Amino acid sequence: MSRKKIFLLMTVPLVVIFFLFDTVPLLTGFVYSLTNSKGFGTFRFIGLSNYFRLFTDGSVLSSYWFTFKFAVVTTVVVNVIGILLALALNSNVKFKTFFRGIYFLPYVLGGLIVGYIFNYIFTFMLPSVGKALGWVFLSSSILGNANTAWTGIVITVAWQSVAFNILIYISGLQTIPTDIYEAAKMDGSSSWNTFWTITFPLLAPFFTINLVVSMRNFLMVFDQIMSLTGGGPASSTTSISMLIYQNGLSGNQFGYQSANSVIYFIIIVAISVFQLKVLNKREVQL
Amino acid sequence: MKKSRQIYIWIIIAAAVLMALFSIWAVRTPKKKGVSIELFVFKPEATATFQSLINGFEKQNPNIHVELSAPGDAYTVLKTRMVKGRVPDLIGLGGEQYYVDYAKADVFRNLTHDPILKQFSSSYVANMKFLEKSSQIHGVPYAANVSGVLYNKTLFEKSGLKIPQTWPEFIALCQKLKAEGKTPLYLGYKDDWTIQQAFNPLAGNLMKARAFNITAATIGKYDAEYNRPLQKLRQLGQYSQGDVFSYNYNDATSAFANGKSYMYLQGNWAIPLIKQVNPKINLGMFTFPANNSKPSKSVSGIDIVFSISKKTKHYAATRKLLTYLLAKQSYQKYLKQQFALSTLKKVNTYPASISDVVPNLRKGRITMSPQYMYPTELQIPSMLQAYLVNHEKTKTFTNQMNSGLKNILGPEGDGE
Repeated sequence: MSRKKIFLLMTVPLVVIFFLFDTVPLLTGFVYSLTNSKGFGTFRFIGLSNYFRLFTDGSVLSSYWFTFKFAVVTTVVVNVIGILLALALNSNVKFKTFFRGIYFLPYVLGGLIVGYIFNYIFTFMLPSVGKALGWVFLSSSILGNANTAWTGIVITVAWQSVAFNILIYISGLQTIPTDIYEAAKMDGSSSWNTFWTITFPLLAPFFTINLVVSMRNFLMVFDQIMSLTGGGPASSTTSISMLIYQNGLSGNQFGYQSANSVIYFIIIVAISVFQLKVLNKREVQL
Repeated sequence: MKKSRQIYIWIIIAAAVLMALFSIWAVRTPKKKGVSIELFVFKPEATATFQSLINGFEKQNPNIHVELSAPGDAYTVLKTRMVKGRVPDLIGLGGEQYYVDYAKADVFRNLTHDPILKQFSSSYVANMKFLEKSSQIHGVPYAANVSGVLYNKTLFEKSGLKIPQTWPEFIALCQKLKAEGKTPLYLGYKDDWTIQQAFNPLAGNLMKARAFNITAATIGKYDAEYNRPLQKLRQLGQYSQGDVFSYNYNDATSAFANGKSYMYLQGNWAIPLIKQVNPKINLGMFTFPANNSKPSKSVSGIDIVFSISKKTKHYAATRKLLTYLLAKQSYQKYLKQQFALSTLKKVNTYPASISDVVPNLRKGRITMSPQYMYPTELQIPSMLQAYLVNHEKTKTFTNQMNSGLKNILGPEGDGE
C-alpha cells in the first residue's frame, strides 16, 4: 500500500465524520433559525424575524454583555497570573516538577466538580470566615448578589484554566536561549527591563495562542456557571451558551435560540480571526 | 518485518470495528422475550417507588418487560428523545405547561372519552381541562400535590405558638420569632422555582381567577392585580435567614429538616427529602394565610399526569401498566411513599403530616397553582427572582411579562 493511500485512508473518514457531526448540525441549526420551532411538533418558516427579535430582546443583550465582560476580565486575569507563575516555575526553585504538577491539577478536574466545590466554598465557608472576622463584604455569599456573582465565576474559571496558560508559557520560556539573557546581564540590563524587552517579545507567539484559546474558551463558558449559580441571581450570570441551552431546550425557544447560536458562531469566528491577524504582527522572530 | 506490522494494525482496526458493531447490536436487541415498554417519569425522587411497582407488575405479567427512566433534567431529556423519534410508551409529567405543550403537539393519545377517567374525582378532571384550555384531555391526573407552610411541630410546641389563620397573624408570628433571634422562614431562592412556593398561594388567593386565563387578548388587562401578591412576596424576605439568593432548594430543605427554621414554604413533595435528612422530625403543614381577614384557600395542583404515547407499538401492554398503577394496592403504596394526595374517588386517605390542610382539601377550598398557567417560554420563576433581586417595581415586572407574552402569543410567536 502506498503512503498516499494510507494518508487518504486516514483523512477521508475524519472528513466524513466532521461533516456528519459538525457541518450537518450547523446547517440544520441554521434552517431551524428561520422557523418558529419549539423543538417538537409542527413549525413554520418565519423568515428572518428571529434575528430581528434578538437585537431587541433584553435577556439576550444582557447575556452578551455578561459573557463578554466575563471573557475579557478572565482572559486578562488568567494571562497575567499565568505569565507570573510560569516565570516562577521556570526559575530554579526547589521541587520544580512537583509544583508544576500541583498547578496543573485543576485543569484535569471537570468543570462541574470544580464548580460544586467552589459553590460550597462561596456559600458556606467564606461567609462563616467573614462573619467570624466581622468583615461585611465577606459575610454573605458573593454568588447570592447580582452585582458580585460574576466575580465568583471569574475566580473559579480562572483558578481552573490558568494551568493551561502556565503550561504554554513555560514551554515558551524554554524556547528562549539563555545566551540572550547572559548578554543582557553583561550590558547591565535590570531584570524588569530584561522582562519587557527580551522575555515578553519572545513570548509573544505563545501570548497569542493563549489569548485566542482562552478568549474562545471563556466565551463558551457553561459547566462552571451551571454548577455555581445556574445563571442567577436574576439571570445576572447567564452566559450565551447557557441561555441557548436553557431557553432553547427547556424553554421551548428552539428556533429562536438557533438564530442566537448562528449569530454567536459568527461573532466567535470574527473575534478569533481578528486576534490571530492583529497579534501575529506583533510577534518577534529571533 | 514491515509487512507483518501492517497486518497487525489491520487486525486491531478490524477487531475494533467488529466490537463497535457488536455493542450497537447488543444494545439494540431487547434483553428479554415478550414485549418491552418504557415508563418515563419526571420525578427522580420517586425512582425507588416506581421500580418496586414495576417489579410487582412484571411478576404478574411475565411477558411484559418495563424499563424505567427517571432522569434528573427530565424535560430536556424528553425533548431530545422526541427529536430522535424515540418516545417512551407511558409518560409521567407534572401537571403544568410542559405537559400541555406536548399534548398540543399531538404527542399523546387523546383520552377524553376513555372510561379510565371515570374513576377520578371530577374536580381533577375539570382541572385537566382548565390546564389544557380545551375540552380534550390527553392524560390521567394520577396524583395531586398540596403546598403551603411546612412547620416544625416540636419547635412550635416549645415556643407555645398557634397556627396563624390570617396574614397579619402570620406576620406577627414572624416578627415575634425574629425579635427572639430565631429564623421564621428558610428561603432557598437561589433555585428560582422555589420562589413560586411563596408566589402561588399569594397570587392564587389575592388575584382574580380570570387573571390566569392567559391569552393574547388578555395581555396587560390584569396588571393591577399583581400589586398585592408581589408586595407581600417581598415582605416575606424580611423574615428569612437572610442572603436568600445564596441558598438553593437542597440547602434550605436540609436547614429546615435540621430545625434551623420554624417554617418552610414548600409542598408535600419536599417531605420525603426532609425525612431523609432528619427521620425524627415532627412536621406539619398549614395553609399559607395569604388573605388579611378571611380564610385562605390551599394551593393544590396535579402532581403527575400519565399520558400514553400516540406512537406506541404496545398499546395493550402500556394500558395494562397504567391500570396496574391505578389499582388500589399500588396506588396507595405510591401515595404513602411519596406523601402524595389521592385523585381517585375510591381512595380518600391523607398523609398525617399535612393534617392541617385536610379540611380545606375536603371542602374543595383549593386554588390551582398559578405557576402552571404561564407559558413555559415566559420563565416566570426567573422573572420573580429578578423582581426580588433588582428591587423592581410591580410596573417593571408586569411590563416585562407583557412584552414576553406578546412575543410568545403574538402572530410571530412560537405558540398557540
